[in-house]
Amino acid sequence: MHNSIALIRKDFMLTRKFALLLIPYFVLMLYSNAQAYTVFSLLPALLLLINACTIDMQHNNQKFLATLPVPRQRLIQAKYLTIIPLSLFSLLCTLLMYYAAVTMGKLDEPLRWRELGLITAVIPLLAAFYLPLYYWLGQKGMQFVNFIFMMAIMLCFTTFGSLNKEFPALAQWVQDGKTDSMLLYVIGGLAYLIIIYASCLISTRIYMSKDI
Amino acid sequence: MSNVIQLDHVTKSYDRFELKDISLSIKEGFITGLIGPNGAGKTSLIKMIMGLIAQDHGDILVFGQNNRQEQAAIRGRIGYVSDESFYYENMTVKQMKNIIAPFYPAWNNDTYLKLQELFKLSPGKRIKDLSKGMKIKFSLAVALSHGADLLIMDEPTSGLDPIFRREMLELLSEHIQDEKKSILFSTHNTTDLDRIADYIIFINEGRIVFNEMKESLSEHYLLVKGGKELLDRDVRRWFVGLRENGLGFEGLISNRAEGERYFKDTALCETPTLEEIMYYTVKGDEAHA
Repeated sequence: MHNSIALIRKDFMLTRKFALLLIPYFVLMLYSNAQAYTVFSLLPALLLLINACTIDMQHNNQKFLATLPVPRQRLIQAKYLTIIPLSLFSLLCTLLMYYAAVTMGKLDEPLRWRELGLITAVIPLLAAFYLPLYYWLGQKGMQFVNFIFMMAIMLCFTTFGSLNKEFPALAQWVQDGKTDSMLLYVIGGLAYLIIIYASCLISTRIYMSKDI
Repeated sequence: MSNVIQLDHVTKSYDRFELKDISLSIKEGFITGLIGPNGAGKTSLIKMIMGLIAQDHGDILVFGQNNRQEQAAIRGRIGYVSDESFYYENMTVKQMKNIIAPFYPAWNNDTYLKLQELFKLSPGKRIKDLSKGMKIKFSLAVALSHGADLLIMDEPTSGLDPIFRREMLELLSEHIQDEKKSILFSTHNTTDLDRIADYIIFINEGRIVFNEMKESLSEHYLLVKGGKELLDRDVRRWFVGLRENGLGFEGLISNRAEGERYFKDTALCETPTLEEIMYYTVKGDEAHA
């Protein structure tokens, strides 16, 4: 656990300069489209994750990680665990933006916390698709992976925009918290966890057998 | 005398290169030099010991533990210095130290600060702004600050000025004074090993040529310089490697006693340096290839 914390701390140290760029991002979003504030929590966490992964892959840095007294599977686990604080950081920034928008009179509505929670929960799901590709393609395929991943993020933005049309039941739950079929959400939740777990297993399998 | 590293029939194949059936042991409490020409397999061998690359066949034991199964425990006791910097280039020396230190329970910050001062490492300087020599100094400071029982150094003296190279060799000699610590030191620069190594492993074309005490090499090898008239077909076979020019020949014999018996009155017989042993062995292998 101690090593996992040290690895997460390392990722935050690597990305802290990049995180400063999020200030203009949130200010711009606040002024241009404060109504859609829930969707803005998606981008910062994923950008920070991509940034940390990209730095880890440059300049023989994988060699540095592989010479640390940490088992390789722990390196993978820590990368997946990093998604949690990154998501919370992103959520916190979005909440700050929401309260700033309310204070400035740009927004006049209660917090859409279900929508915000749902979008925050999508962050680990997207990362679950990104990380196995990142470990598989390595430095050579990193640009390709990052491009595909940015496309996936854009797709998510669009999907949330048309939530009412595509998934009316989900849109209903986001709206009022009521649902017709609880079982559907239990299955959805389980599938969510299975995807993340399977992703972690695949990444571990790839990285364990990799020559560095 | 126990072995700190043990390789048993280790094989690793690449497209155009193979480490073939490597078996060797490295003794605890000594400095072992790993020599060989470019592309001989020194770095691959070190990477396999470090668990950075996986062997196709065979076993590697470090501190008596399997290096694939106990990788974290083993690496906690190893200080690794590579000729290529693998630290985060945009971090400062201090930030990088702060990233590394929490991973090592035996990290000694006082030792690190002493070495930082000795090596004139500026804590606020970014890794990318350090010269190659300074990067190696930083690696060495890190490796010596967590009480490593084994230092594995891949070409550590390349890019270092002669003054610091000497200082570093003295530091390494001091490091193994307690006879519990060991060093594996790969280099092209055999004069470094002439100064400090106890054992020499010579690798060429993916094979171990010898793994011996440095002192015993002078009992085995003989460098002979003489006129060409001394060379006939049978005599040529004694030489590991031979260089001829218009004036005569110079060659290396691996059976010193036999060489001295034949050449002592007719040619100049000398004890070869490590560089000469390496040169003639590689030259001989090329001639026989």
